Amino acid sequence: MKPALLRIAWREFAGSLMRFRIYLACLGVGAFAIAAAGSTTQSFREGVTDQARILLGGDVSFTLARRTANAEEAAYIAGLGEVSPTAMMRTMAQSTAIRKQVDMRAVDSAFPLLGEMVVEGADPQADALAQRDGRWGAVVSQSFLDELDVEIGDPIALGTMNAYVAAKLVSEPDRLGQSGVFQPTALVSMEAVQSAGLLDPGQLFRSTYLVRLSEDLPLDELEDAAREVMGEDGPRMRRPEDAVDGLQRLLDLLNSFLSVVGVAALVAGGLGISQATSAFLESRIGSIAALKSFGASGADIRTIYLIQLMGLAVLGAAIGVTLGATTPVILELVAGESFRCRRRPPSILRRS
Amino acid sequence: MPDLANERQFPPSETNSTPKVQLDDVQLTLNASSGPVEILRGVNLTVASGETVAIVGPSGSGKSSMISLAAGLERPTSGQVRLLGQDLAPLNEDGLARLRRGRVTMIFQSFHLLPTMSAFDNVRAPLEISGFEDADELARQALDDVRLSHRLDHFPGQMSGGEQQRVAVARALACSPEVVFADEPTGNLDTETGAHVADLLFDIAAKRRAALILVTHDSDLANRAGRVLTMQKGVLS
Ligand SMILES: Nc1ncnc2c1ncn2[C@@H]1O[C@H](COP(=O)(O)OP(=O)(O)OP(=O)(O)O)[C@@H](O)[C@H]1O
Ligand SMILES: [Mg+2]
Repeated sequence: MKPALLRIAWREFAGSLMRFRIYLACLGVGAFAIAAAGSTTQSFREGVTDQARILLGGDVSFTLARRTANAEEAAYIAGLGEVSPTAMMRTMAQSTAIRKQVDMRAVDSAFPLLGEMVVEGADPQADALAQRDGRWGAVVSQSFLDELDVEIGDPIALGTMNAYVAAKLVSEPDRLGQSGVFQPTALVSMEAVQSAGLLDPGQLFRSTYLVRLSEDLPLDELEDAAREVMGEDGPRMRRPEDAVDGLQRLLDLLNSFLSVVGVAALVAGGLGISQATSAFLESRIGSIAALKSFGASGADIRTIYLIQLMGLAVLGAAIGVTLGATTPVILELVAGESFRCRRRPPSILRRS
Repeated sequence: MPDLANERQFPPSETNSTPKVQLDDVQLTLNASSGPVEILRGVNLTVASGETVAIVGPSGSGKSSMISLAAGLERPTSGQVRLLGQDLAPLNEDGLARLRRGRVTMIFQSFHLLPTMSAFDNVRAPLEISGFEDADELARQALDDVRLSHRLDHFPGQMSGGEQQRVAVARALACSPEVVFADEPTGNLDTETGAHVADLLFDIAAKRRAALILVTHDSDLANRAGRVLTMQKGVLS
């Protein structure tokens, strides 16, 4: 190829960029829609996978209905790594004036294994869940405070258990993984529910053993091994995916939706591109005739305009892909906290 | 960059006495929606090296059409066109382009400047395509000759009709061609500038022995030519 052709193409290209901003926009929008659909769903997925362990509350968990693990099961689970036993139950809460059913969650001092629990108004010197003056500390949700009309420090009864409001629960890391997100909730210690007899046989509760595995085991193998040791009626293993089950389905839906949008944008972009291309060449008929009359061969003309079309295509696609790839970042900036899909999981904090 | 001398084709038939342009009973019939339109009805024309020919005639009589045929930009319905001694009929588009390259140039009635290029680049691009090593120098000189050295960086859209016309003239004369077709080259120029551009055109015929075929409505300009021919309803006389 003659270098002169490249120079001519470049000069005409530079001169026509402004005139072809519509063409560029077409290309950009097309590429943008596709890249955005891909990158947004992808980063959602990554975000969900990152967060799934936190939502579960551990690498894996074992659940049992209406009983705690027996000695054999507890020993097996304890052998897998660091364990935090928890229990979940419904109970009647009673303040001076109001009586209402609430969710009660019992946790031990290892909780949470992953993520961070945020409480407000707790005495920094003392363990909020500890017993004080014959009453067990309960950390309760805002909805609990509202619906039972209590304040921090007020005495309450949780079923047969005497307790007091020790702090406000702002967030539990695995809250979304549990059911009944908006239900009034009280967090108490395992010790408290045990001594109140709430974990005795016949009581209605579900116990969950959160586990941080000491070894990076394939979860399929672990599940098989656990069933082997503890039997079909033993604790049922849950994985991070299970905690975000509904979310995964939502994502699949979002993905198909964005794909449809992407295809539509591709079609629209393609039409725009082909129209803009013929408009581009049509506007050049005079120039082409002039170049030919001055000795440019058909190959020269093709080279000059192919270079320019490719230049425009590359530029348009680059703009689109850049926009598309940065969409998740932009969304995060705009939507802030509620759209934390690209963040790594927060550093793991443990209460000592 | 290819050496221009090697790219030029000198058919063995071409000697000093070979006419630069030769039209032999050339007819052009175009098919319009209302039926065939006879635009040229048997045009004969021979222009030798150094000769200047002015074509006059009413609007729509076929002057521009004849120039397009003679330059090989269009093909006749019948008859023979020879350019630089070469029969154009057997040549394909690229063969025609190669033949014209650096030797045959046009000043179009509507200029046909490249709108996205500066005046300087409009003049330089054809020189570069034709393989001139000193394209920059030649382009600068040609624009200086048409008194546009202060407009080098201006785009066609930023120039007056007369200025655009002078860029077209500079583009046609920059390579010192052997044949120049000029379709109303002074149509948009004031008397003084028009006379100056005419000087440039006749100079190249006198000094470079180029063949000049000039279409004009201006009788003063026509009368400077060695021959004045009249086109009337597709017949040249
Ligand atoms: N593509 C075409 N299809 C049909 N008729 C055409 C076409 N091109 C030109 N003509 C007709 O051919 C005739 C000659 O046109 P041409 O441009 O050669 O005239 P002209 O002598 O150069 O006129 P002017 O002095 O106005 O420039 C006109 O009647 C024109 O309408
Ligand atoms: Mg005309």
